[in-house]
Amino acid sequence: MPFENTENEQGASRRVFIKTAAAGAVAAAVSGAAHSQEKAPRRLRIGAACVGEYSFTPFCWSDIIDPEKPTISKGGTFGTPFLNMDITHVWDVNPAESQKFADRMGAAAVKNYDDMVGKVDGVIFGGFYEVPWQHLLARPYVEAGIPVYLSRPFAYRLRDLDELLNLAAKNNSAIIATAKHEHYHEAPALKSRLKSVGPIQCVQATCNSSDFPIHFHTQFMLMRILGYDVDKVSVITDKEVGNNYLQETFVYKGGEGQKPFICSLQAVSNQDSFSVDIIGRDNTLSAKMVRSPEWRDSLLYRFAPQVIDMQRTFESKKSWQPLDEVRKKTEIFLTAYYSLKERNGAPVSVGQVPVDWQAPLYKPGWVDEAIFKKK
Amino acid sequence: MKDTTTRRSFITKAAAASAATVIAASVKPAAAQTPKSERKLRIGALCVGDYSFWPLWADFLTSKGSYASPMLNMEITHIWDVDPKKAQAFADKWGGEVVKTYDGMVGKVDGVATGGLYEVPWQHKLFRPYLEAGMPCSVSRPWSNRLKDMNEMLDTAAKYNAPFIATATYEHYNEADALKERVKKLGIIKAVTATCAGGDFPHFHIQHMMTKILGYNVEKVSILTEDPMKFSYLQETYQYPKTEKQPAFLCGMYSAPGPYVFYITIIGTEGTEVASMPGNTNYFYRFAPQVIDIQRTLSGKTYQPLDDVRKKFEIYLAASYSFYERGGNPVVVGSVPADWGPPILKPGFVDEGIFKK
Repeated sequence: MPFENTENEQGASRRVFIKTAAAGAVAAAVSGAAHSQEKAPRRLRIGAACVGEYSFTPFCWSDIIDPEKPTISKGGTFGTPFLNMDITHVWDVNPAESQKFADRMGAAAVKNYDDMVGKVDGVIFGGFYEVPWQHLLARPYVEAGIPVYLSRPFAYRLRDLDELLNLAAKNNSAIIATAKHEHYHEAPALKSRLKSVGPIQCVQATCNSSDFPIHFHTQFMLMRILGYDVDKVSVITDKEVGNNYLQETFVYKGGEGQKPFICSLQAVSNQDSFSVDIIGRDNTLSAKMVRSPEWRDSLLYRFAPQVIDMQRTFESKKSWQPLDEVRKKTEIFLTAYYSLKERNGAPVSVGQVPVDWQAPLYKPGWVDEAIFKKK
Repeated sequence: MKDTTTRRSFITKAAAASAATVIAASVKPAAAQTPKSERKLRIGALCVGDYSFWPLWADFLTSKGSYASPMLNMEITHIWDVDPKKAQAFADKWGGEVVKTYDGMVGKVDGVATGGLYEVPWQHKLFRPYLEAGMPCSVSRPWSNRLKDMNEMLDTAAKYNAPFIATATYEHYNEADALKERVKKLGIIKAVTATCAGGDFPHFHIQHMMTKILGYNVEKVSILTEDPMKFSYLQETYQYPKTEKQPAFLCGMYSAPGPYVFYITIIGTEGTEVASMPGNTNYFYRFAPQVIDIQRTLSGKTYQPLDDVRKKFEIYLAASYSFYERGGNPVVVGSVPADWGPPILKPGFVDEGIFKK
């Protein structure tokens, strides 16, 4: 298969997603009821999209957001109000799932995927199966200037992600597109201490997961620590979901005073959420997250940091990170998948994956594309 | 030496609880008028001036801090400090109403929390009116200066069924619960070492985290340092006693500011467990876990058995006694006289005249 260097041809190049003031003004004007009041409501009204199968929202996020509502978790809820959001509206591809979750949360189930426009202050896409259609599902909200959280791995084609990011830039809409490990306090702490290790010799990390890409969140955490300047990526595994072994390798370019180096991430099933060892010439930095037997600890340490940053994004209406970084990490994820599916695990240069190449879908047809046709 | 106050159990008596309920109902009209679920908890902030956690907590509890939204479910509505100017400065910055007297928040708030260190020797007096009113209280580490005072405070909390929390920040970290569980799989513990970023003994929070992980049945404690408030080295050692399946072992804790907030290694015959928190971890994740549990307590649930609170205070006291009275020799926990206390950091910081009726 010939490589297409599509960066210039396709118009989806490594562009800078500049926010324009004029577009922002338009977005503010059309964003509807939730933004029409002079003073923001004390509690943010949240639209929960994709709340049925394989969704973080009913699994645990709702137990953090509103611990006074019933839970499906044997471990219980967070137990004490902590955030400033209420789930007020719900949508799912399956109306029965939507209604079930809405009943649990005391929220309103809406009929159409775009029915929450003008009713909420932010939208959380909590599902996984819907990710290939996320650029379409989120479109009306991004167009209306409503902040959205995009579920990982954000998109299955670069073209789709570019479409959404361009729209966000044009409408001055806030985006948060992250995996939960990116929000762990160890990420900025390790990043801030990198200088103390001297030139990096290698980096080794583990992630408690046997599923790629679903739960292999460490890939995104390591970029947050080491930077997005990855040159090549490879993935070897016996299978994506339920694997016995998986190794993802980032080859970093290096720079002045830093030779190119490898960051190796492996999937493991143990008692830790992750571990990271950054081995430098002068020092080694280590961190890991031990898992507590208390589910309440897991809610606070494993899941809440990401939800807190969702709230910050919705409240501030500012994207959590530059949109270029969102694109870059999606591109690196897709390059990894491309290595696995098209290159049998050989390293692939970041930037070489055609923008129209699509990673395999977990549930083809999960979202009926007819819903996106103009009414 | 004789501990005249003995290791009692703080059993909550139904009769005392009923009495507390009656008293609490009669003095808490303002806070009780609006159902709690429809509003935030109204919190009284005690001791907000010098050497207090309160400015740091207020940074994430209020809308004027680092977070776009106020975090958690508590609103600082009333404030008191020994220095009225500092109380007013705090109120001006973070919001809330200053009260004139230390007991001026009774009946106005859902719970009271102190963030100060210098007031600790007077804490049993400062909190008495709130405990007697059955109000939830959060007291600052190391909670007291003498066992006698601590017992008075705990007895009052038990008698009036007042929800109570007395902890240090590290006790609330995820790693404490996790390691407590994992220790069971390590076989026989051979040694435990831990480091703490705290640069003075009041901030040596690891001592309380380690008892949460390893248990409160510490037999002897010793401290080796030049000065608990300003040191280049500090070592605190717990001697755990022999039990049925576990020979006696040591837990050595060291001050090591810089690379890690804490770094714990537990070495057993069947394996080793390590846990750490990198230095530079942001303040929210270092302090919010404790404040979340303070909120849970101020919502009405005592954080841990009062006997555990007493025990960890006794261990702290034995450590101090080792340094000030025994030249660093190990001291048996429970042997410190109830009237003994380490030197007060700021003698006269609280004017005792305020406690006169």
